[in-house]
Amino acid sequence: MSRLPALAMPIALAAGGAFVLVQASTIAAAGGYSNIGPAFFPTLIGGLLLALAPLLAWGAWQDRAGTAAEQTTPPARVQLDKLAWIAAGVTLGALAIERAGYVVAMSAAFLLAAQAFPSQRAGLTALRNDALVSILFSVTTWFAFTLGLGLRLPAGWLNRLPGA
Amino acid sequence: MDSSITLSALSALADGMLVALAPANLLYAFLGCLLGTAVGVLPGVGPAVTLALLLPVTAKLEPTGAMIMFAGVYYGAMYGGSTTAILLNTPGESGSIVTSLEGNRMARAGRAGPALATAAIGSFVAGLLATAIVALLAPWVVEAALLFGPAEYFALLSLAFVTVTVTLGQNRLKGAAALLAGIATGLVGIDGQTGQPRLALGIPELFDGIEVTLIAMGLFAIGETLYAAAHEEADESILSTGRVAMSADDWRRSWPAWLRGTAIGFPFGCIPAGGVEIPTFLSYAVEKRLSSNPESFGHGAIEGVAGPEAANNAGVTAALVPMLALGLPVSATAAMMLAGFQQYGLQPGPLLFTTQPELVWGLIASLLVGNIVLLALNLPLVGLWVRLLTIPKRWLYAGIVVFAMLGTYGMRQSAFDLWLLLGAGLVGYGMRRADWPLAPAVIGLILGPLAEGQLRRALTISQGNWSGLTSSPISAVLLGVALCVALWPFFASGVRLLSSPRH
Repeated sequence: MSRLPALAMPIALAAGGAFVLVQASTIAAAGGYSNIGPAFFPTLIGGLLLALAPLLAWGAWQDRAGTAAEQTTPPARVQLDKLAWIAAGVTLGALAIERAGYVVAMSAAFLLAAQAFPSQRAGLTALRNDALVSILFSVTTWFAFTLGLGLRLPAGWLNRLPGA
Repeated sequence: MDSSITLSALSALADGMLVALAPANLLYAFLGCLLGTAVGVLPGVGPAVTLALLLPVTAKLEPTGAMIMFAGVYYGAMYGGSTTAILLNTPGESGSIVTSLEGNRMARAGRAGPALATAAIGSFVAGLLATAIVALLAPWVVEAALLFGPAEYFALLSLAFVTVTVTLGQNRLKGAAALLAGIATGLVGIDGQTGQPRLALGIPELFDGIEVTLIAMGLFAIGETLYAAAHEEADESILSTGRVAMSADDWRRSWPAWLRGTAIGFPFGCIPAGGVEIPTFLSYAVEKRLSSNPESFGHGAIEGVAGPEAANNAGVTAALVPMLALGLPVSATAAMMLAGFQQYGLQPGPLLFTTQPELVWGLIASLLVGNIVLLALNLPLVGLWVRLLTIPKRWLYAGIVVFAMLGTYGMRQSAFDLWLLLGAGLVGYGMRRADWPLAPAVIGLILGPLAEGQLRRALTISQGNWSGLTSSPISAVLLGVALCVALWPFFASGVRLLSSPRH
């Protein structure tokens, strides 16, 4: 197995640290009486993040080599493709909530996210049940939060329904 | 010894009781307990996630009612979590790991009822005692905290950073990474002192900073959902509860364990030494040691559920002392509670006791009320909670995703925040995958801006002279302790190196 997944987090951390450092250098430093301005803390944190990344990478590399050597049973299967269903659900929700409205966007998000998990029923029956539950869930939360708690949520396409 | 502080605490608590017992607030406490238990019982949903998910529900209430409801959610989530740990063997949070150790064995042996009962009554006893101690102790801490200036606060926050890094999670490098990432996230937005935007990339939505609740929902709720989807596990069978009654022998074995658990859990919850992992394991070890038949441990010993559950609840309650009196959250759950305060623009700390006594003491009193409500609610309704465990995973997690999106969007009606939620969720997945602790990230996000503000204020007072940070004995000691804790592994290995040749 590739060692890249183990190094993903240290690499992300280094990238984040570099980003913070670069951004900090663009902040006009006016220290005032304290001698430390708005750029001080970002520079410090960015530097620490960047310094920590190679240490973590080293540790992750060691762990990886260690577990690979002593592992007798195959590691649990990781299905990264399942993540796509949930990411797609949130993405669609983010894109649609202000156009199509809360109920439509969240029903779609629910339906997509549910596909990331296995079902005991056959494909089409499962999909029909998911669709029913997703609509029920978003309609219930819509009423509970708008009428019950006074939260403002976009109605979207529901405004075009006859009688609405 | 100044007894007037204790006396005024008692009278303030009595006033708080009047607030908590007002019909509307009683209703909020009841609702909070109900919702907290219902969400907390769901598998994969620990107390911190429960609090994050239910924060938006309280957003439109007035602060006192909201905090009272929140206290109910806090306790309800704990009760719900132990129910799941016992019946399903999936502890929602580190504090329930020990509970599932013995509790699930008891349930497998057909003794789920007594296990649930000793957990519920133990939590009740511990919660009641711990709340009373909180009420007596908090004013003293407030009294001390009022002497704190910016330098002392900065030193205290530094100590909290170090201890949180060291104690939450297995690996201090990973803890430090999570903490620093949280602090970095907290830097995003307009700098309060100079009005300059930082790390915002010119995106107007980022100028106000990133909401703690948003990050918490992303890291905890979305991250957990992503992890559950990618790492498919065999479904654990749900064990039936049977009769929820304890025999005379169960009572005899449980009550000393409850009291010992409370005594162990409380001190650990007070100090910024992070969470309830250590006291619950410690309580388990103590019960095993004191037991007349230690061989029953590992096969469903009731003391092994009673002690750790009490330690867990006492620790969680004690965490309110630093949270309320100093504004210092020591665990992820306490951090979510603090986020609840910040939602109303309230900053917990010594001043809150004088500016909002009704809220603080109403909250403390409602912890007492909440405990009673929970005991009355949980034991009879346990069958209903068990039925919640049978919700199919795909609907459960899809519902969590939608609920997190609803809460995020509802905060400021911004679709942009949903992208941040997705980003935080993916980071949360990566952190779970790489075994990074999540709590330091949330704590860093909350405390980072405070630490920066206090540091800059302290240095302004000392005219930019760094020695101003250690000029008072309190701050010098706090910083010294922080340094020692941070460098302890080097000391320890140094001592080992020095002492080994002689043996």
